[in-house]
Amino acid sequence: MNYRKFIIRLFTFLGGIYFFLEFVLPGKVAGVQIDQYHDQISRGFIVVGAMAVGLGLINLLMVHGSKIIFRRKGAINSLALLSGLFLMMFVSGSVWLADLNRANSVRKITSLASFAERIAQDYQIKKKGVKPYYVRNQLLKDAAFKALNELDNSVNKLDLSRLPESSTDSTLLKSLKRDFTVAMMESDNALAKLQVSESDKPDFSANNKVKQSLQTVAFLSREIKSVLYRYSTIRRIYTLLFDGLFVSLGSAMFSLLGFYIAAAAYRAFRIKSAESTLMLLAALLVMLGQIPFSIWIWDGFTDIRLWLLSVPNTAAFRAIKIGAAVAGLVMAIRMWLSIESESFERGTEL
Amino acid sequence: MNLANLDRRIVYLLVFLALSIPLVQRYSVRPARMESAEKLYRIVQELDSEKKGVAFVALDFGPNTKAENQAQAEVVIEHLMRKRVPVVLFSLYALAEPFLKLVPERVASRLMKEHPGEKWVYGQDWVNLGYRPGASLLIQSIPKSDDLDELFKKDVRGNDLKDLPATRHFKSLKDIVFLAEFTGLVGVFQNYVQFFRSKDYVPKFGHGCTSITIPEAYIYMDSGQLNGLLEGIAGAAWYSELLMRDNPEREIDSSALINTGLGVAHLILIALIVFGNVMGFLERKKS
Amino acid sequence: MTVINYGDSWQLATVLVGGIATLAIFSFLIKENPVYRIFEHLFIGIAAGFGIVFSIQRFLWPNIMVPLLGLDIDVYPDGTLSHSYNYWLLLYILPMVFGLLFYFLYSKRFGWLAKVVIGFQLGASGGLAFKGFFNEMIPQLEKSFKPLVVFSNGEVNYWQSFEHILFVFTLLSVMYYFFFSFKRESRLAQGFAGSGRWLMMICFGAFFGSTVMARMALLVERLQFLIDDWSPALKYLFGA
Repeated sequence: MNYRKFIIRLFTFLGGIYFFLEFVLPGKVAGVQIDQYHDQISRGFIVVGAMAVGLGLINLLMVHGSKIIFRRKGAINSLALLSGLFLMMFVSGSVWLADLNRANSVRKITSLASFAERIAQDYQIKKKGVKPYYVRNQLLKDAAFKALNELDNSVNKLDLSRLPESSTDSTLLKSLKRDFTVAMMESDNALAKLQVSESDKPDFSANNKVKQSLQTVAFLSREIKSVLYRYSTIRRIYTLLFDGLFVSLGSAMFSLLGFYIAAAAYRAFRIKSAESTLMLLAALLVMLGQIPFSIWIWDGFTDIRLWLLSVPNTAAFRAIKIGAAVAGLVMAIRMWLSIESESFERGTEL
Repeated sequence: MNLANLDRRIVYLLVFLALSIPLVQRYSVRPARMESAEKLYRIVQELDSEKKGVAFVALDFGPNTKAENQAQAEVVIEHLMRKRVPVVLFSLYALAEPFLKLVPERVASRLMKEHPGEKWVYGQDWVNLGYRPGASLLIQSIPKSDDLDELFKKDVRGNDLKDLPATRHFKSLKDIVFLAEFTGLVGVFQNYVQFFRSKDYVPKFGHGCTSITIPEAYIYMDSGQLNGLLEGIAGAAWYSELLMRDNPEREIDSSALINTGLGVAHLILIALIVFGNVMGFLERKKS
Repeated sequence: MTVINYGDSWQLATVLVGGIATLAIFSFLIKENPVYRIFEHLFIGIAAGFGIVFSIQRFLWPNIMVPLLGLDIDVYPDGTLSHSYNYWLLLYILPMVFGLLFYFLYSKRFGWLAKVVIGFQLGASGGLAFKGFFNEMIPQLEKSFKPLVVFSNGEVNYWQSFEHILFVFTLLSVMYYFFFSFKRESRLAQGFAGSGRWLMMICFGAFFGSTVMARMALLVERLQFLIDDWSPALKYLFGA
């Protein structure tokens, strides 16, 4: 075996060993909690897979780009594919950026909300190296008033005329704006109650209120902006592409199967042997048991269907499933231990 | 014309016309009773909204199977929202993203229309975690985590989960009182069967499958790995019927209409099978 | 049925485009044609474009890049930080670089490096299979041991006992039917495997019945869209 084959087999083995050990070993070994980093490790595995995201793009560009450049047969189809690809990438990328911007517009407020909580926590644990709580409260108060003022201005500047009058979104927006005004007032009140001078009995209940009211303000302002964003041109192009084209095309392609099964049932589902008769009979009983009209003929069809599904079907399906699962496990072991690696290793210079 | 081998396009046209008629006429009848849907209904009905905990609802479907899965998700989410059990929506399937947003919003607006003066709002009644990649790896992390807020960090809108009322106490698997999953993808469903459990706790599990996977879903019902099941659109229609029974003021939804259309489709299929067999038999006899 | 605000031209356009796309796909039923092909390719393009941006947006950026670049650290008004930078996060660079090996797939000379990472992924799925198998199959096996004689209220429940016997017989005979490792020579063995084959036919029949419902549901949904959403939008467009 040359070194390349060895490396591939080694990494294949290493890929599986963590999950295997994680399964066979208890969570705690010799007093050490060995699965405490499971989430981070799993994320590492997902990262490896996620890096393949560009493969699809490169493949599509290679296959369809060359068709267009050399004007091969089907170039127009390839052009449609790549147009859809780039348009969707651009539009969904823009929608994502807008989402990020909305989140950033309230970042200051959410950060101050967590600061309000931190001040209380730091005091309770007597954290060293930080300013006294009342000084920090004063800083929080000043920064929060400024940030709230900026947010209020930005929300007031929003152009609400984009929304069609009397639409559900317009009603929703009005209610959100009302709630936003109330939350702003509550934030102002809570900020005013912060202890900004030293006291014998430090009270952090105002800090908690500041935290909650600032979070509400941030949440509502983002909601208002997202409702409005639904009416922006780019969001609407996204909806047109997604709902109009993508969802419709996806559903329509699968619905063709409805026509095909009808034609197949007519032309191929014939009684030819005792076995096919049994199958046909079971199919008819199941079909009759699941439709609303069967009750007009006989109300026992529903029970027969249930019995067929839960007794003979479940037993037979379970037998098939057990067989398939055992085979799947054996295949997984062979794959993990590179016993089944000949076809995988073929085709590349190794 | 050889009737035993009728042109497939004539069959298509027949199917198209026969299905369109009840839909145009808006004809709907009471759906067939589904015991598995009743089991699911009872589980949701017995959830206690006073107790802390959320319902974790995974919408793992895209446009391809929305015909069945969307109707199922709507009725179950509606039931949970009526019970005021906070719903945490999530998906392992990227193309489910628009449904994660659309379905709860539609349900909430329907409920608010039905109960003027009452509110169902985002953050309190439902939270959308969005699509998360990682499939089985991610599902495995859920029972192992002792701070789910930290595992998922933010919702799809960028809010910190620990700041939202619905997810403020979203810490461990035990805070999930009910798991519902809707999909047409057997492999995705199995991730939950295999990994959404810890040694000492498995939440009640309800599943909405597409009809093609009904026979397989029954083996999980028998083994107790599933506690309730919605079988395709027929399951959704019966669940909707149960909701109507307990909430007489509820407006009828489209699942009964689709289910009726589906019933007609079945009758056409049965007729085609019988007709095809008779024609085939006559032809064999002739030759 | 969607509630459409016809005054909203974008919404109207979305519904109209949806109907045209549906009919373009349905046109395949008559015969293969260029319109169908174009829409089919458009679908693949849109799906791919959406998927690429989405996996970055939903995973790589928020879960890896943001903490790695320290973009989630807030500076409070007193100069303290919401949390300090966790240098362990730099370890994520390792899987990122390792994942980049996928792109050697296009190189003849270094193509084997892509196989290292593909092998790693395959190995991981192999390792995961153990836990998945036992978690899924043990309850299945446990519930297969059904009592063959069922008593209720101190008396034999004949119907349930029959169900259980049939269940166990079906399970064993279907499993036996799939044992190809040894020859079935005795008539008893052949009969047992044969009955497994018969019982499987019931399962396949049930499967067909369910498939019909699945396929037709998709079709009914599309027809409902054409009838309830698209045709009123079309009527509105032409002022009918």
